[in-house]
Amino acid sequence: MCARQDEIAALNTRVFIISFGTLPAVQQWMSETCTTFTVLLDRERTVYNAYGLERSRLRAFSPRTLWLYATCHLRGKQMHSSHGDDTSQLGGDFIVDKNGLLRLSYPSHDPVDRPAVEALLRVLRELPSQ
Amino acid sequence: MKTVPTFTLTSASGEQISLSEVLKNGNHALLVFLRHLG
Repeated sequence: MCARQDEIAALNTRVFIISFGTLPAVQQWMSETCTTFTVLLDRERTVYNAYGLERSRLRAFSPRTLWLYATCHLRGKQMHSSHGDDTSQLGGDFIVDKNGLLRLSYPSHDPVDRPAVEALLRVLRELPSQ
Repeated sequence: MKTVPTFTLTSASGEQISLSEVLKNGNHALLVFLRHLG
């Protein structure tokens, strides 16, 4: 998504990354990934709950998630600890238009399940510019 | 189409961000909820 940030900004859209991690963990994550988007802290997961994002240990460790972890390990990618955070909490993606209307709701079925950036851009391009 | 819950959260840089203020300023919002950061 970082690679498409100019395109997203041109569509009059602000991106907010929301995390329930601690501030030090978020800062470390930001230093290793994309730092240009605003990262918001939701330690109590109040907003996660308001948007209906579920916790599921079964889905958090689905076969395809375990396969991803295994391939990352085999490629030598370093995996970080969960910092004691809840590993069963699932994420998701939502697009809200400027009138406060929900235009896309994509709660992740499992940790690997995320919408393609192109699919997000398609929704954003259809939103009214004025 | 339904309206979404609004919220105010603190950013990693300490700024208070209100979704309703962002929308009021004429921006759309893409919300990306992360899993744990491990």
